[in-house]
Amino acid sequence: MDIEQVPQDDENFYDGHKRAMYARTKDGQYVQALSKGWAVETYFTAEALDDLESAYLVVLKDVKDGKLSPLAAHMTRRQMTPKLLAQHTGFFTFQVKRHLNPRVFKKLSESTLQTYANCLNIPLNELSEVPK
Amino acid sequence: MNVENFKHLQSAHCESGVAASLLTHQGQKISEPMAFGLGSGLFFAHLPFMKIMGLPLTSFRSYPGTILKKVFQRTGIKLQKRQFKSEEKALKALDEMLEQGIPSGVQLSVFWLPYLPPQFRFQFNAHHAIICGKKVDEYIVSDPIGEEMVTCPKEDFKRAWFAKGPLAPKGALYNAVSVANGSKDRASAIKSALKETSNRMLRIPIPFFGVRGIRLLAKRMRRWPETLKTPRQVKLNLGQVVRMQEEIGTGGAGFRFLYAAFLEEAASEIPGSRLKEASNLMTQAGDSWRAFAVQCAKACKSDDFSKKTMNSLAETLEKAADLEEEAFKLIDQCILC
Repeated sequence: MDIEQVPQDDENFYDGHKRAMYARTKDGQYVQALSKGWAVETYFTAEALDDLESAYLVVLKDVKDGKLSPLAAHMTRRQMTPKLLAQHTGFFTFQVKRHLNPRVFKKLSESTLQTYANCLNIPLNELSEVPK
Repeated sequence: MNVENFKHLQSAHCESGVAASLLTHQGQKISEPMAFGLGSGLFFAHLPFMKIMGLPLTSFRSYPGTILKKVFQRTGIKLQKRQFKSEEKALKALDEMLEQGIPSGVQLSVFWLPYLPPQFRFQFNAHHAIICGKKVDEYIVSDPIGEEMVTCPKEDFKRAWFAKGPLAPKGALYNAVSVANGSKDRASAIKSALKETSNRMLRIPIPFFGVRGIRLLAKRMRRWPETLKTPRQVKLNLGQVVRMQEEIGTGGAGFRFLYAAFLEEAASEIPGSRLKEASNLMTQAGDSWRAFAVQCAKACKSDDFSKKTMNSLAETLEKAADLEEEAFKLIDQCILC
């Protein structure tokens, strides 16, 4: 890549920051060049985020309909799966999956809820609420 | 507590950036591309049977952690790596290093780092950064991706340092241990690094790795519209490849430009070799990867996954594979002489 080809698509993608790339000057020497953002990259990252968001909305709807516990929504918001959440909390995966059931979730002890709240980095009282 | 005389170095890739910064602090003359090359960072792997969030794994780099290890081996400087079960012990060890004025490399999960923009915060555990100071409840972080040093609250840092899951950091702490006669012969170090990368790109006998891996991806990609159920799936699969290739931390084109920069520098360390030509070939391969990304975006935006489009995508990849093969065959000759 030549230095003129380093993309400067100002999309505010890096929140105003610039990232380092390597490109060649006119004499064919490699130097570090800073880029503001690239439309192609922005597009695919937006797609991936969009995919996460739509998966989250599906879960959120199930939580509101009472099919899943609020824990499912918080977990999905943190991009976690029951397996990953189990690794963080020290519970077994099947336990976490059970806790996604609203009836089981209601009966959970304070200390279990506190463990989830710590791992998901949210206050204890928000854990039992449906996130906005 | 701050490490004195520590210079922040903005880099394209986190691990080679950390390696270059730590070695520069040790008084070595080493650039980021050199660190990346000496660490044999370039690779390609496409593993259709290993899924990450439901999508096949495609990687453009060697296994996380190996770059750091190999750069230090090849420059003859000792690297101490520690991991911890207890968060308290880890924080204590880190503070001790800071008190002695030694910067520490750490492995972190990007998801919990508040100083990164939210669109980069995915569950990925193998980000690297350097801790070079501490305020009351904050650490001063030299994150090679950023333009400047940043601060990170202790609580968030602890979370990122002890995140669980695949590639869990387990409080990984890296320190360079001063050795008086650190510097080994640079030319022979470069040759051994080149040999390793070349072997991995050309001579792994199963088809998932190296240039054969790129060709496998091209072959499978041609059939994606039939093998995957929905156009949305094709889109996500293409997106995954492009994101692995371009997302922050590759320096563009899946590390190919970074490696081309290394080859150029290597050419000046080993006079009379044809590494400069190899660098040109690698640059062309990188340009093909960039063209592939542009084509992908075009196809995805218009939902055009016809045979013709998929064929031209695959052909661009095969072109990149051919160029990389040619480059590494040339490198093989350079090592021998």
